[in-house]
Amino acid sequence: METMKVRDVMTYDLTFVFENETVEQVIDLLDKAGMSGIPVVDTDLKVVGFISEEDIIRACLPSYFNLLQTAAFLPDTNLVLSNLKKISRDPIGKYVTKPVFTVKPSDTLLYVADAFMRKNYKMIPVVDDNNVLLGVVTRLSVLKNAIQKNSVVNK
Amino acid sequence: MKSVLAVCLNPALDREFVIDNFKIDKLNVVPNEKNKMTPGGKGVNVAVILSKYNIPSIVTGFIGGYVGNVLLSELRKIDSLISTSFVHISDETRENIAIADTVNHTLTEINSEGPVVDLHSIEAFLKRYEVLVQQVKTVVISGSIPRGVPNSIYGELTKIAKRYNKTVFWEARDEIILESMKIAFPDVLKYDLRRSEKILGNILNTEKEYVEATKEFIKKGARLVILSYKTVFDFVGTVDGVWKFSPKVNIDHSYLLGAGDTFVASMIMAQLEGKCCVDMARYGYAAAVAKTSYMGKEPPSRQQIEEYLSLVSSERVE
Repeated sequence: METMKVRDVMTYDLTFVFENETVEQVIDLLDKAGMSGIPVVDTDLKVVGFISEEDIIRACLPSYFNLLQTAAFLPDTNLVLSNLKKISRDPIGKYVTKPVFTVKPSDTLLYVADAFMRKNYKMIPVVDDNNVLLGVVTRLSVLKNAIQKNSVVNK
Repeated sequence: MKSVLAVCLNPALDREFVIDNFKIDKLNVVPNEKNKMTPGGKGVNVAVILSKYNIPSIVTGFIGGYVGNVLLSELRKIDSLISTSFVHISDETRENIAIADTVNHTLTEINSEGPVVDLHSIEAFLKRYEVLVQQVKTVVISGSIPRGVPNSIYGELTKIAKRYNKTVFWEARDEIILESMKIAFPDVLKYDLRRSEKILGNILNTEKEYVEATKEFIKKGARLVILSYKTVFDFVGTVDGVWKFSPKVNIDHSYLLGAGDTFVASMIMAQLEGKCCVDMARYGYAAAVAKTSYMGKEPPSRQQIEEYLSLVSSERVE
């Protein structure tokens, strides 16, 4: 598995959003593209952040919520919905994860697998030496390619 | 830096079923090996051909729905030299179904009407296009336009590309060219005359009319113009003159499929390798003629193109 590189398993897809696009637009894009998160880039296609469904849900919860273990303390179950409505026109840049964790095509699969496990990422942007977006790598693509490689080795 | 940005505004999923003794109003069963699914649309085809020549590209345009996702997944399987960057829309991407019956020699085609693109999606596309265009050396805009997108879009996209000094290729129908050239002109203009034979609003007949039309486009700002004449010939114009390209071999018309996209992709390859103007067109023409020498979608090899360079003639007519 160590010999496999990110370039062998990544998806060469450049679907991205800009920081000034709204929360509503990003949710719409995630829905249509069937993605759980998306890289945020500047006008030079350099990755400046990453926004996931989780980031948007967190933005709709009261700030103290992170300290709690359960949603039972939420004063009103409609709170999340009304907060989502409130932030829907906000630029997504307000809620983006920064700094963003990225990998290079030459990084090993082991390095990426480690990042998926330790940091609980579902998708990681792949960039070149100038931080320009080249694609993404997902947990599933790592697993799928690793198992294919494994079955070839065992044959 | 990627070499090419291939703009395919209206991609399609091409489905081909070979059903011998196809019967209407009956159940027809297709064996799995005779059921093919390939990503299509002229810009997509150009990117796929470029990948066979080891040239990396980014494909952009509009994609939507279940068919769009299938297309995307099939396109990603072809080659990692092709990066995708589509704007996702609500409507379904086009699906072109062809049912070939090799016993009765019939071809039944069912093409979906294609999506309607809304204004927000067009705006999102233009913003993304401007970022992508800076990442490449050459832009190729090729093929039809989905409903909702104005015919002038080729011009708008070219105006943006020119801001960053990129070389721009077009292959399109007359209606698109007429509207788009009011805004900007490409470096290389190739007419798509498959569905309509109109050039600048008129049907041309004589060779002299083709020569005059070629000169007119050069006067308007194109560096290289290619007008297909009677399917197998081409009138090619630059500021230095006009040439008529002809094959020295017989062309099998049933193998013409894909020749136009091969022409464009090979011209781009020649341009990236430093060829200019007539030499670039000659290379593309030789590749297109080579493509008609066999059946199948695969583009000709570099060696085949080199061989065919001596099997095409370019006669100066102006």
